[in-house]
Amino acid sequence: MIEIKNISKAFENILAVDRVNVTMKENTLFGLIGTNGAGKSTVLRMVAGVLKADEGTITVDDMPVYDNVEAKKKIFFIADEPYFFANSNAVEMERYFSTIYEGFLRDDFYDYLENFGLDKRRKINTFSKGMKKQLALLCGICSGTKYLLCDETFDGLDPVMRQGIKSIFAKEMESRGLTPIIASHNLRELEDICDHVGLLHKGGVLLSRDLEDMKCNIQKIQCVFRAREDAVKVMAGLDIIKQEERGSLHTLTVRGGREEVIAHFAAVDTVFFEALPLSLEEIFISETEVAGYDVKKLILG
Amino acid sequence: MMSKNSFWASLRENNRRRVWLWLVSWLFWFLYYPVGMMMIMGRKQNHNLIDNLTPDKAKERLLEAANEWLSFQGMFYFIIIAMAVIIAIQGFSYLYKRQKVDFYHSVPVKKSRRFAVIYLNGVLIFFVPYLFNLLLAMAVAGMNGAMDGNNAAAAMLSLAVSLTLFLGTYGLTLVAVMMTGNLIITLLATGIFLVYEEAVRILVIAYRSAFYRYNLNISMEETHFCTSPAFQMFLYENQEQGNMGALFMVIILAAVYTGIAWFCYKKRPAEAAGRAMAFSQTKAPVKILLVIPFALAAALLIMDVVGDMPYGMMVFGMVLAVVLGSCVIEVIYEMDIRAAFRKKYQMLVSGAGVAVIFLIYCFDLTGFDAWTPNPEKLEDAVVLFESDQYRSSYMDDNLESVRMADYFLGRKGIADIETVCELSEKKQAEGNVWCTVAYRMKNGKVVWRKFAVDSGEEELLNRIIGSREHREAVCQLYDDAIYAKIKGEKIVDFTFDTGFKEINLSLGDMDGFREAYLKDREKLDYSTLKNEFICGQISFRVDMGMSEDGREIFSRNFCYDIYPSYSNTLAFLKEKGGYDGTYFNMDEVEYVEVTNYNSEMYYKGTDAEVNLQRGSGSYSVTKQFAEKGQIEELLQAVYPEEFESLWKEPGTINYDYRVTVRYKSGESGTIFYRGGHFIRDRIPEWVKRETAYQ
Repeated sequence: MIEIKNISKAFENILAVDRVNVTMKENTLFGLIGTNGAGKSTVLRMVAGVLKADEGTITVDDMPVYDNVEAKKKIFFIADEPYFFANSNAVEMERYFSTIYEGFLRDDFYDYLENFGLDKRRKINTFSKGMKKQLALLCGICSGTKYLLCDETFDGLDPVMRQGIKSIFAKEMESRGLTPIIASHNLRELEDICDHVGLLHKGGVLLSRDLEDMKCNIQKIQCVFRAREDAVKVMAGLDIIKQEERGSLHTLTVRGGREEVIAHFAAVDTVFFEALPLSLEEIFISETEVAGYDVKKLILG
Repeated sequence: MMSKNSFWASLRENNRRRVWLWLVSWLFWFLYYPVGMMMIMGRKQNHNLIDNLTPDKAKERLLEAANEWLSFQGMFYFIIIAMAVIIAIQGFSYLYKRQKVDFYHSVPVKKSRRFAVIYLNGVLIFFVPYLFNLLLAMAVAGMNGAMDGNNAAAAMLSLAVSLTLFLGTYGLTLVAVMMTGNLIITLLATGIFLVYEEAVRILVIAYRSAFYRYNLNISMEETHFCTSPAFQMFLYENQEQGNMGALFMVIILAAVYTGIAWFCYKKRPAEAAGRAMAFSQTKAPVKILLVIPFALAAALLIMDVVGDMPYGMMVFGMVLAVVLGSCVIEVIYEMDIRAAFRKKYQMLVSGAGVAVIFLIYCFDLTGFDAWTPNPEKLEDAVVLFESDQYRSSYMDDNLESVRMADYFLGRKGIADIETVCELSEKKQAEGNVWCTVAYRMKNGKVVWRKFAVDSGEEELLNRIIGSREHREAVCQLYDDAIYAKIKGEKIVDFTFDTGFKEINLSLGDMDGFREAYLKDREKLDYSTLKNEFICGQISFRVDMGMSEDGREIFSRNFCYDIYPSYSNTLAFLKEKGGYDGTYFNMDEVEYVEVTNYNSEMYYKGTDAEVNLQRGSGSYSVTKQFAEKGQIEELLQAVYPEEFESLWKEPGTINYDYRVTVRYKSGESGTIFYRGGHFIRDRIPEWVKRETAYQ
């Protein structure tokens, strides 16, 4: 587990990360979402042990990560612009990582290269941006580390490749408990693969939740009440996040378990009520609006 | 089996990133050592054939050539410094790019290992090709019969010196790399680190010389460089027999710099990549430490250009330099022209620093000129008179030239503290008798001052010059060891020269001469030097052997002045050397030529202007006198230029006339002309008339 406790980081006089607290559980896919400049890369670089936090602590499986080789052995960091040696090819990168990561999966690496159609002898500087990202991801996946930190790594990947990588993630998560941590500025890019999402804004965490929990604990109900009194009675017993009223049709976003909420509505006299599915986007919008943010502007553009 | 993640595996991996450096290093040393040696040997073998040398001589020539090639060469300074800078920067250049920093610092490699791997690889890139090719060159020399123990030692010493210089500069450059965030700033910082101390020294010397009256050239003091391996190594190379202390100092510097570099590497924030300075705390001190000397130098430059002490302009120059320097450095720091006037308080601090230092020198706030020795704290003093410095040269135990100051400092100084303090109190900025005094304090400190003393202080100067310590220091004939060494060498000539006549003496009379001469010197004091005219000079010419290339023969002259009051010496010379009391042989002289510059004809200009006019010769009148009577009268009035010294009162010698004696062909060896000037009041009236400007 990666535990980030109250970390802050400033560059010169600019506060990039401000008292962030996040816990990244093992064997889950953690998505770190935020706008440009929100502090995602800084958080990941601190988690990778590249940057030292000005305040707070970061532990990887209970070990502080900065300047700690044992903790870093559990992490592979893919920066937003991955670096490869000048004039090198995939074989040379494998050779290097093999000396660094004792558990580097050489055979898997070459298999994946073949499957992805990447020429192992071709100079990396002739690769496209997307190919470089694929190669970086393959290096990371095959490094054998427990945690894989990906900074905007899915940007530039075509849908087929994204799907391929997702499959590999799923396989590795299942086979050896890989824990990918993916930073992105685009929520839609992550919603279908993440188990847990942290939303960063202006250096701070707006929220950090398990997606399933979020989905289970928030319900969207459309209903028509028979009388005004019924509406008042129902709403008094609910934790309403958002409420819209169009004529007699009420649309409510309510915190609480599905069964519990449905039971609540069933107990009053309604003309009609229905529980609708919520997209991750809607959940985020609802959650952050409560905190006074317009998340559409932040992550949906 | 080598572990995948072992130190050596890391070393090998790092080497893969530095292949081009290995190639350059191998190529350079290969071309320089074995290829160069082959060419030298081939050339020398040809010369031996052409010169038809005996086998011994031929081998000697080859040995000398190989020795020269294997020894540390002057050009190595630049090459080794350049290699150290390039290798150091290339090794850690990943620190300049965020991408690379993210890559290297995220992988599970200890910082200490990464530093050690890159550091060691840098050293190996320099050392392995150097050593291998040096050994190859030695083998080439050996195949040509040009290797012996001496050459092997020279090669190993060269290797040690080169490696030391490399390590020193390498360590210093690493500090520059760790403290900066991009290549250009690293190069600037390396340059500044290499020369900063020397530049500040020069500035201090310049300020002392500009503002202090009793300052002396600092070169009299022993220089110890504290920060620059290059200058420290320069000291090592430029001192006879090599200065092992300087070499050792470079090794210490290399260790210290490497330690600092490692500390900075550990503390360096990853976000420093691409910035001008890696540590924001160093920005202000670095800026201030650069701006202050820059502004002070600007003031001196203005003084030099304008002349005299244009205080207003100097202050203006300093203010301008502080503003300009601060702005430029801030722009470099921020890489933003709009940042020029930020951090104004640093500008103010720099300005205040400049003002304080300038005022210290300007008003002598440290009391440099007012300083006089505390008799209680003074051990002794070494007094060097400028007149002696012009007329004497000094040798060490190996008969190698040493500075007068160094020779004197190695001896006992004048222990009459009262006299030394009295001399110090009589110091003045202008005067006839100039001296440099090294006050040796009881705590080991040496305080140097240079000042003039009025020639009217005859009694005081007699006590100084007549003191046993001073007398024995001035004349090396007192030194039994040196004298024995001179006698032990191959003495080519032992002559007595009157300035116009040279008499050869018997080598067997050297001891007798020394005894008589030293007896006479017991009475030597300032009055003798001031009032008497040197009547001759004894000289030993010693054969010092062949030069290293075998083209020149070195000889060294040891000369000793004789005054008319040296009765024992003159009597000895008369008895032994056939010296008859005359200063010239009339039969040898063809004519005497007198040139009168007629300076009085010139307008009342400055000395420089008069000299300029004199050079043009527009008012000069030259006449030749060949009659025996004229020649006799003229030579009685002339003081040979070899004997002229600063001990005389100004005007004692009349420089408005120049006298040249022309010898008859073949009469006086290879010398055909000797010159001198008239002694005041002895110029014959007829000469004045005949050489006057019409």
